Formats: sequence, C-alpha cells, structure tokens
Amino acid sequence: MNDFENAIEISGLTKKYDGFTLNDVSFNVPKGSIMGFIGQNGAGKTTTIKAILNIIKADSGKINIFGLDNTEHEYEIKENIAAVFDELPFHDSLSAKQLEIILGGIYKSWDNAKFKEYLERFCLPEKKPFGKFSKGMKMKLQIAAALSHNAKLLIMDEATTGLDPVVRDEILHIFLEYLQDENNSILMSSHITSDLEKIADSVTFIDKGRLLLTGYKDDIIENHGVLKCSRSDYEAIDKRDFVSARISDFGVSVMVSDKKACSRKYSGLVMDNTTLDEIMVYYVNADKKEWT
Amino acid sequence: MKGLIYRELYLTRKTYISALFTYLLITLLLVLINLSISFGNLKDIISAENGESTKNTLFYLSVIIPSAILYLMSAANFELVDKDMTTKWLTFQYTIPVSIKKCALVKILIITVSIIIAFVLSMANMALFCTLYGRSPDRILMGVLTFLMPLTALGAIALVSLTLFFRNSTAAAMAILAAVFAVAYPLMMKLIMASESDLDSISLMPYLNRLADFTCFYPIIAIVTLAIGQLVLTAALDRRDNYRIKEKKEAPTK
Repeated sequence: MNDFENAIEISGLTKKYDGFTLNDVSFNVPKGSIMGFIGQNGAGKTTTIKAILNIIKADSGKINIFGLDNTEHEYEIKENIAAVFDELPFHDSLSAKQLEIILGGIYKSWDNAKFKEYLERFCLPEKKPFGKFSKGMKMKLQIAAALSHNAKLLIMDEATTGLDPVVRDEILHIFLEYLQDENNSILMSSHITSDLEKIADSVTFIDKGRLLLTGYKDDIIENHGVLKCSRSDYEAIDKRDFVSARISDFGVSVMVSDKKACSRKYSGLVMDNTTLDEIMVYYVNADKKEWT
Repeated sequence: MKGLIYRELYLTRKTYISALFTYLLITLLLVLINLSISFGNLKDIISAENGESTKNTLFYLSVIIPSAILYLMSAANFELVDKDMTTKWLTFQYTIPVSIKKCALVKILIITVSIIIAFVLSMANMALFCTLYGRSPDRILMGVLTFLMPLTALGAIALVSLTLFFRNSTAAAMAILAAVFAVAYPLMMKLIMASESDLDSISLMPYLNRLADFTCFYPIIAIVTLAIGQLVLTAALDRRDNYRIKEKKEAPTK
C-alpha cells in the first residue's frame, strides 16, 4: 500500500442531484502533501468528499485512494483513512474514555497511548461528556481521534470553520507535524483560504460542481496576478487574457492567469500579486467575465 | 465490531437498566399483592367474591405484565438510531473500516441478547409466581411468553428499519402503532361479533390454546425473523440514497 504516488486520484467524478451536478471533477492529492479543497458553500466540496469516502455512490468516474479503487478496497482503505467533519459525530453523553474503547475496538491500528497523548496535549478531559465540550474542544477531540489510528490520509470537511484563530492555528500546526511523515497526506476542504494559504502544498478550486483550478499553491499564486487599470485601459485588454474583471468606480481589477505574459503584454499597467481568496472570487465570477 | 457493540450497549444502558428496574419493582408489587391475598387484608375480600377467578386473573397478570416490560426493553434501542442520525454518527459510520453488514449484525446481536434475557427472566418470573400461587407451569402461559420472542424480534427490527427509512423514530413508532391497530381492530371486531355483542362472554382461551399448540416453533420463528432482520437492516443501513435525498435539498443551498 506504500507504493503509490498520489494519496487520492479522482478522474471524471460525476454525481447528479436535482438542481445540482458535480460535473467531471478530476484532481490528485500527491502523497506527503496537503491539498486545500476550496469552494464557496454549495460548490460540491462535501459531495466530492462523500464520494471519496464512498458515503455516496458516484454516477460515473473513478476514485483511487493509495492506488486502490475506493469501492473495491473500501475497508482496507478506510483502515488508513481518518475523516474529520465540521460537527462532532459522537453522542453528547460519551466521554473520551468511552471513545477510546469504541474506536479501539474498530481500528486495528488504534493507539491508546497516542490518543491519551493528544488528549493531554489538547487539554481535553477524559471523563467529561462531549456535550459539555466547546466547539474548539470538539474539533480537537475529532482530530485526536483521527490521528490516533495511524491514518495515512486525513480528510477534513470544513473542519476549521467556526473555530477561533488561536485554535485554528494550533490545529494547523498539528497538521504540519502530521505531514512530517512523508507517507501521510491531507485533503482539507475549507472556504477559509487564509488557513490553506498557510499550510497547503496544492489547492483545488471547485464551483457549482465544476473544477475551476487545481495545482500547486505556490504556482497558482505565482502565475496569477491582478492588473489594476482604468476603464479605458481595460477596454484595450484582450478578453482571452483574463479570468474575470471587477469593475468599480475607482477603476478595474483584472485577474490574469499568466502573470508573466500579461506583465509583458500590458507593461504599462500595474500588476499586483494576489491571494487564494482573490483568485477564488475572480474564478467564481469567471462566467460573467465582468462584475462589480 | 467490539467497539460498536460497546457503543450500542453504553448508549442504551439507561433504557435497559430502567426496564430491568421497572420489571423488578412491578414483580415486587405483584409478590406483595400475592402475599396479601394469601395472608393479609386482601385474603378476606378475595375469598368473599369470585376468589378463584380473581386469583386466576392475578396469576396471569403477574406473569405477563413484568415479562411484557422485559420484551419491550428489547425493542428499546431504536431511539439510538434517531440519535445516530442527529449526531451524524451514521455518516461517520461509513468512514470506519467496518462493513454495513457488521453494523447491522451488531444491532441484531443486541436485540437477540435482550430477547434471550427477557425470555429467561420471564421464565424465572413464571416459576416464582407458580410457586407463590401453588400452580404448575401453565401451557398457555408458556405459549404466550414464547410467542413474544418472534413478535418482539419483528417489532424491534421493524422499528429500527423504519426509523432509518423515515429518518425519525417517532414516525417509525407511529407507523408500527398504525400497523398494530390495523391488525388488532379487525381481530377485536371478529371476537365481539363471535360473542354476539355480549362482551362478558368474550373468551380468549380458544385462541390462546391454539397459540400454545405451536410453542416449540416460536424460537425457530424468532431465529428466522432475526436472520431476515439482518438482511433488512443491512439494506436499510446501506441506503446511501438516504443521504442523496438529504443532499438534494442541501447541496445547492449549503
């Protein structure tokens, strides 16, 4: 199982719902990396994650995890996967002590000592029922549980949403530690791009069920730029050269996907660096091309 | 699988403990009534009017009521399914390396064990009251208590499956009640018609006698019911379309 290049390989994933279609999504999560899975609410992130975890059955497409088909080798794969959701999936009356027994009886490679270590590190009480935990504590508990069975792949669905910056930072730090082992990988869905900007190696943008962009984060940030110009300068820009343009009273901001080429082509205009957040916003409006 | 069994037992322990406590309390109460009939104040009252008939009724009630409570306990864990849906455990369950078949088997195992416990305790209860009322074990009572095994298995499986189907335990319980009413109402009507509208002459004895004729088959029927239940529960738990339906509504707005 260690002989694989990508922790996750998705090709042509399609899933149709009434009023929503996840359309032909393909991307890879390289082994030993953390991928940020970005998109606005309802973009299809959760549907993709559910398809990866075989919680929902895809209409078409192929998903390989650790090089194995995710439906044929479902349980072998799941022994090495940890899923973290935005809400704690354990009953309020349970405590960490009971969870240890439950998960210890489920995962072959469950490590009690590791779990206790995480509990101590996160200052989580062993006997307090989860119902009395704060949101941050619940998330830390999920992460402690996820990391205690030596999973090779961590899949997180909006796990850091709603957490305060201190807790988020602490959690992100843990993920970086987890990635010290080059066999471990993380797929982290979020619409908080600042977190992903800090830790992600690669990012995948998704919107309205369509894949907009996927690749290494640094390449994406480096290749994209925002041209700042006046309305008259904007008229001179070739529409094929940009993703979308934001028109305001003060001028026009144009997102380009080939910063170097555009800098040369439109050398008289100011080219600013951009962020994942900005890239996401401009790509989401790419259909409109111009927006305010 | 051990972890799942522990989880089910831990989360339903209060229901089982309270059912056992109620069973013991009611048994104690019925023992006290018996003692009063034999040696106390009730002795004179009962002897004065229809002594044997009242004692007979009390004996049957003493055996059946605590046993029924125990059997009801076996179907108690359907509420856990409701909680599992609220806490999203059911979604999490799909991420663990345990097959849906085994998840269903855990529920069936717990129902089976609680039915066995209910049967054993109801037999102990019958033995106790047979001693107290000076009777030998009753064929009809044996029939009724054994008949409760497949009936409880069927009820428990239906409740869990319907809770998964409706995604709501109250709706499941209402559906079962409606089904029970639909079966019981014509039977009651038939009984009343047979007694020519004379309610006092209604006798269940012929029916109970027929029920007792098949006593030895009930444990087999219970096993078959549980085996079918395993298939039904596996299908119900594997209804990932359930989540599709939910997502149809959620996906565009989330």
